[in-house]
Amino acid sequence: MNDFETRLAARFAALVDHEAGAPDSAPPFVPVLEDEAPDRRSRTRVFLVAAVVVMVAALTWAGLSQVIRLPGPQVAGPPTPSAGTTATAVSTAPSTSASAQTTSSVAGASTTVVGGMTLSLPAGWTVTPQTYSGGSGPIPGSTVWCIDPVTAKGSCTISLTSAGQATGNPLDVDVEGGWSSNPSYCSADVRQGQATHTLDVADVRSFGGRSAEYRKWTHTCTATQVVQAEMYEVAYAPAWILFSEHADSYVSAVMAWVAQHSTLPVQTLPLRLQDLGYVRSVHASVSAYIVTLDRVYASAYSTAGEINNSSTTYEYTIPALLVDAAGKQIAAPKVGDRAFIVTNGSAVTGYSVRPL
Amino acid sequence: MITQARTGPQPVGSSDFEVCYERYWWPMVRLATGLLGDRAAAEDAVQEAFTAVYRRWSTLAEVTRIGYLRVCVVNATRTTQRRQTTQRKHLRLVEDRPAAGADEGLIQQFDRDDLRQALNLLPLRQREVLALRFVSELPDAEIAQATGLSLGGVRSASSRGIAALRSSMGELR
Repeated sequence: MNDFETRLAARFAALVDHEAGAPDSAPPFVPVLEDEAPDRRSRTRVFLVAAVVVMVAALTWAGLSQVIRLPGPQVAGPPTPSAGTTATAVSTAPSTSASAQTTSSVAGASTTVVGGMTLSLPAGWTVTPQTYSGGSGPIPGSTVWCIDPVTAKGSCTISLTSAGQATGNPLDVDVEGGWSSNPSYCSADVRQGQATHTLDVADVRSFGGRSAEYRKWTHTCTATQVVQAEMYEVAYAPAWILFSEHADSYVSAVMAWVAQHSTLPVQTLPLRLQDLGYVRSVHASVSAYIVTLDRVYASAYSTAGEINNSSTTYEYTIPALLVDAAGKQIAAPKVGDRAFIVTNGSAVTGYSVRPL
Repeated sequence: MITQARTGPQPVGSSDFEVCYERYWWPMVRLATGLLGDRAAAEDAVQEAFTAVYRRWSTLAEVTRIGYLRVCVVNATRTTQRRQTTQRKHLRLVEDRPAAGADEGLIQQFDRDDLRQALNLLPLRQREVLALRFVSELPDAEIAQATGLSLGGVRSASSRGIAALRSSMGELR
């Protein structure tokens, strides 16, 4: 670099220092949809792309629905409108309106209260109560909202569930969608030997300030049909599930953003609603068995088998007179049992042995 | 008991993206400011660039991420400049330049204005190469990657740009 270049570099640096101002830390990063681009040509282009995407998604959805039984609310019944199914927006600004609208707390983001949860959404995303048709309805005691891009409102790209423990269909953090009864993906292709399934990630992450079981699965039904599923499930009451079966990298990022920026209602009951693990000790009394459970992450798909990231054990009191679903008294728990435990948050209501 | 979790793709937005965002946001704002001469427009361009990177984060090899980010920033500033060029066609910019006989601060102001005006007269590629060289202090190979020019093209644009600035601004103090 010669003298002129040295002086030019210094002058250039001084110019940029002046124009850019004092060094700043980065503002919060908010994912932005393309339809927020400021110029009209971009908006038009994005609109056209969005229209095509919606059409393709609709056609693909229709096709996939024929071959995939999707997890989610499975219990039939008429929709039950209630206060809990209405997304109630709040504003931090003074408002004279009883139905205050959504407000921004982070640039471009919005905050809404749904079912007692303060839900933060990145710009361009919206939440609506899930609608039901054909006699279907939510699992009793649960409420589902759909989180979608504003261009695909109501399509349930991500589902958000305020989950209640349902009789005969307990929560299950190792099943896509979060419920024990949810069917597997692309079962028809499994029978034809085409499908592959992987559990990509299983760990514990924060969701709305609470600890959630996090899972990510990939189901390759056929060469052209791949289902990417991802879930955050808070398994203590009140339980919440954030789930998507369209969890490409962008949707996955939105879920992570929602999980990080939202706030869930605090835990109200001491026991986890569902647990799975190996019984490490049993102490019998007249009326109950006190067991310690070494939790595992189950995977029907992982070639690595079960995952046990921690040697921590959890204590449960199993009533001696507990009966199974058939009304038969359960067998006494034994050390080494691979036990599936269901609770109502305060007491154990189900104990069954599930061999690997 | 098996304790090995399967590894798999980490979601975009995980900590490594955030670290990248926090670490490179300001250097990229400086680069974009050097190219655009406007902090607010620079921040918009950088936001656009990070959004593009964010969407492709999981598919980008770690060693290529910053290079890709820089490409996105340069591309975003090009889009902004095209927009600004269109706006200038419809606006007569009024210069609010103080009278001569000024103190040191005003002399510096004149120096900055002169450099900015001289930069704005350069062809886009030359301005990009000079900003990447003098603001981001990048070697020619990385400038070539960020601008899409060949190494020879970078050297050529650099020497022509410097010559043009020397011609329009003199030797500089």
